[in-house]
Amino acid sequence: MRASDQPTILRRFFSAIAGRPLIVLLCGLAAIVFFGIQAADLEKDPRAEAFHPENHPAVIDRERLIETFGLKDPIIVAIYSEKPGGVFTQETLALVHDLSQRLAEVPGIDPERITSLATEKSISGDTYGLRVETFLPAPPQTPAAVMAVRDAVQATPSMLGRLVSEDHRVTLVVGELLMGADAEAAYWNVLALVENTETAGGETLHVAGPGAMLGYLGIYMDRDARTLAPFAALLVLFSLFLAHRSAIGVIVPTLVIAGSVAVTLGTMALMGANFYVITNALPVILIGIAVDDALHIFGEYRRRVGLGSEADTKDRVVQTMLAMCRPVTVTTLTTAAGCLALGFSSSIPPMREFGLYAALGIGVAWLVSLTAVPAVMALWFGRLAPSTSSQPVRRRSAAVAEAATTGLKQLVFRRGRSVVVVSAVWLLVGLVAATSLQVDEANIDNFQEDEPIVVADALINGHGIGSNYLDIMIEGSGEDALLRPEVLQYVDALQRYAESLPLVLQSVSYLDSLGQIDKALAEPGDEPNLVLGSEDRAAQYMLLYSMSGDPADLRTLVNNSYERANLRLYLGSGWFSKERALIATLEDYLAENPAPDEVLVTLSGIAVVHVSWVGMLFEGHLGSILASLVVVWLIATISFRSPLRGSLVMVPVIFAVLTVYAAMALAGVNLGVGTSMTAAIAIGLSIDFGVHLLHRIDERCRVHQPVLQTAVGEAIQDSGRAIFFGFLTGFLGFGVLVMSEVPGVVRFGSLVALSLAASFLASLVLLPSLILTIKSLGVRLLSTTHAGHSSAPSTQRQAGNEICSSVKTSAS
Amino acid sequence: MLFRQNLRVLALALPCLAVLTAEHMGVARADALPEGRSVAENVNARDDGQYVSRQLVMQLIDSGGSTRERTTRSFRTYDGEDKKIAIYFEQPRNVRDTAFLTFDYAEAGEQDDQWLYLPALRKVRRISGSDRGDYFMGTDFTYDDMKLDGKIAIGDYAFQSVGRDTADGIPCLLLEATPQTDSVAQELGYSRTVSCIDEEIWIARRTEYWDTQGNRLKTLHVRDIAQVSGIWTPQLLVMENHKTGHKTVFRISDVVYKDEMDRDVFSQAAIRRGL
Repeated sequence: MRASDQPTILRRFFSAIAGRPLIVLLCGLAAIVFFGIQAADLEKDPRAEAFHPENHPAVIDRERLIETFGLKDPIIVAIYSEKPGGVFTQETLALVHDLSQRLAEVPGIDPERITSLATEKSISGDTYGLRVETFLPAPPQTPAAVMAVRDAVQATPSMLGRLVSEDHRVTLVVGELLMGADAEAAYWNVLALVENTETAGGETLHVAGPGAMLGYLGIYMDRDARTLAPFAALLVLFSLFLAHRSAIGVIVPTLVIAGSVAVTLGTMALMGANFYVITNALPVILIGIAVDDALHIFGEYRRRVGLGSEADTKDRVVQTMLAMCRPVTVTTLTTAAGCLALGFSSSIPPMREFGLYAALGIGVAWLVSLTAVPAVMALWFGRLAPSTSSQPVRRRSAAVAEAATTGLKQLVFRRGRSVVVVSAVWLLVGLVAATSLQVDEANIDNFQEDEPIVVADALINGHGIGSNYLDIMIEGSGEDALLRPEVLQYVDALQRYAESLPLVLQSVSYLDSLGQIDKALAEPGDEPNLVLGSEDRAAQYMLLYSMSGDPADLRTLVNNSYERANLRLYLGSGWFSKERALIATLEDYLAENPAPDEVLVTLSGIAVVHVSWVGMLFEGHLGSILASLVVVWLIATISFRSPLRGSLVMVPVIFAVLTVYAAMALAGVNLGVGTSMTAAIAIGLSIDFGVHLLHRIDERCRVHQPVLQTAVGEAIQDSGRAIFFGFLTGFLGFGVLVMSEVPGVVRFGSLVALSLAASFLASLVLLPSLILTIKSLGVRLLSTTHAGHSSAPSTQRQAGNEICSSVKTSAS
Repeated sequence: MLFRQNLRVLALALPCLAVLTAEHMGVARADALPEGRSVAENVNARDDGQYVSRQLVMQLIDSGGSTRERTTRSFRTYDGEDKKIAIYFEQPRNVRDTAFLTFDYAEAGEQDDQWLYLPALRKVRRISGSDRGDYFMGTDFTYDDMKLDGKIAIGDYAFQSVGRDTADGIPCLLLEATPQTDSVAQELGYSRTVSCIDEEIWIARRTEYWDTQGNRLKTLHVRDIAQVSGIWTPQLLVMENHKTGHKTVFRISDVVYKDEMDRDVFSQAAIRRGL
């Protein structure tokens, strides 16, 4: 069949491209250069807050909390001492004093907001009167001075579990980032400070805290950006070379990759989007996905060269594009649909942007594949004679491919039923495994287990000092509302209850300051906590406390007018499941113990935001998958004009998704932020192989009128190679993500790669086995093929139908 | 040819340059800045009365706009070189009659004495002296700022006049003060201050502070300066903390200067008794 036999718009379109390839290529290159230049403006955003859905009540509450109390991200230096006496030795306390001073000198750290034994003050009462003194005003010179520090800390309950561990093994020096400071640079500076600090022996220093995590994640992102994309590109290009053994076979897909990545990143920059931890993986993923269309187009062109049916190069290019336009468009639509479903269903900005921009990248790859690819082929093959230098290699390659497809066909033809039965069992296993998946996520899980920041976090929490926070905001009405006795008593009871909960290691509120003074001023025989019964006493104590510290000391706990206070709980874990359980318990308590009149109590802070957005993520997970499945099925159904065939190509998809869930359950991988994206992306990608195969079966059946088994065999033979290399490039592209520094990205990459492997196998083995094994399916498939395919000439459709009837007979 | 042209240009330019340089130097001579230390001494020499009584309203405004107001009656007197300050709280109601007494000894190394009367306890309690760089009663003024009351600790700083500017439209001299040593800087919490000094009355109308790491820390605006009993008296002090967004406003009124105090307000018994 010649191109001129199809006077369609598409034919004219592809003819125009093949006729003016240079113009098309120059336009394409100009677009790549333009968007590539824009991409340089992209900025990374490693903040945990970047994942918070805008306008969510928990986010708004937290912003109000931060604004009211001036909370900042701390960088924590933990000093661990194995010595007898723990941190209460002359050397270790001298180290605390020294580090406190030097941390204040670190650029990016607020020198006025260092919290340690060297800056915090104890309030005590004795015969002198009221003493307000720094715990560690200078390095202690005698054992007695050391004991004095230890006793002062022991006498101040709010210090234990907050700055010093109960077992005295760990103490913290905490620095806060200056507003707008570069967290990554500050983290490096603190690391350098710690590395350059000499200890007397027996002490180890560790850096942790939200500020440190922020800095560390930024470093991870930079390393990922530097290594992943180039490595993915190299791997994919190598596999392309393996596939085609020619320069053109590499140049064509490279052009698609360049176009897809440059336009996507350039558009992101133009739209003011940032690079998040997740979108950092986008270029790598596009590299893996983008080449698929070009591979199939190029494969089809080569097949046509082998057939020698077209008159000249331009004609062959046009015919190739006409043949591949539909499957390439369908697979683009289905893959993009998976990403769009993720983008539109997610309320998490980085995931939404990931989905939307991945869909854009896939769309651009499609556009480049349908324009620049035929232009390059027309230009290249129109001017150069086919190379003969690699003919022996190609022959070997062809022999290997022949052997592989023969083996595959035999498996399908002879063991088809067994394949179907085994697959059905596996699907059941996957379904059961999916129900046992654990849902959990933690910020610290973004780091590798042996990273110093993880070790530091475990050390701090392991010694009973919480490095995660939950804030309880208490709001009264009118000046001094929180000094009313009933409010003081309510907050006291709430704080005591919170401290009794297992995850809560320590708490701090304005009542601690009042309690310290109450204790220091108490006379023998006084009842404890007299302050809780008198507003005047409370107000005068607050005035007294303000004499001993700077405004910012109390600023993080209570506002100027004593209308708003923050009860901060220090938690031993930042895992979603534990935080959610704690929040539920606290909510129950608040429901059973309503606050006094005109007092509002709100659970807030990073823990509540974390539980809110991760909860939303998981709640929307099933919906996102169902949306992806439905959209992809609809596209496949419309494309094949048959709900049955639309459903057939979904089989490898469901196989892949359930395989992923089974693997997660078996490997003990939680359904977290990164892994929750896997299914939607896998759905969009996994359908491609089935679409290409079914399209080929359809075409074989329609054009050459073979019996069904022959059609299936030829389809495997024709498209198996392109499907394999499509799978290989995708697999390598996503597989490269296992090199990421971010464990969540590693899990995401490896699970999507696994889903590609599962759907590849399911598409080439299970799908044809299913078609051949279940007779009724096979028959209906073919009958719908002919009824629904309008592009085939009617005479051929009729002929095809007859062959299908014979298949039905032979099959029965 | 070209060389000659260049020579001609040079011959014309050199005399012009010489004239301009001479003029510039002449301007510089006429506008010579006074020596920094002498400026500081002039500020300290300003008369601020042997004894002063005044109403002081403290407004503490946090970054969210929340405001706490305290009304006090404060007294200050000199006892030789030593300074005594008493602050009696009048508002809000729940701290009324609370009183604070401090003796600031001039002798180096001698710890200040501080007492506090809390009516809720009906007791005067001695409290340990605060560090100079500690903030005073939750305000953005440090204890040192309060004790100096507009004066300058000459021994702590090296001074340099760095230029001229205006503060609230009034011309003033820019005096830069740098702590003599790192330990003084740590003690005070400042690495540098630049004051805009009104040379007519020797009062700093504006002072900028930088923290020990060189970050811009706070700005003090001194306004509503009026003569009371012949003594120039600031009646509005606004201290803005740029790092925290916190702001403190001191409104001073009902100022009375005397050579001798008419009754004893600087004793433990007085702060217990109240005004």
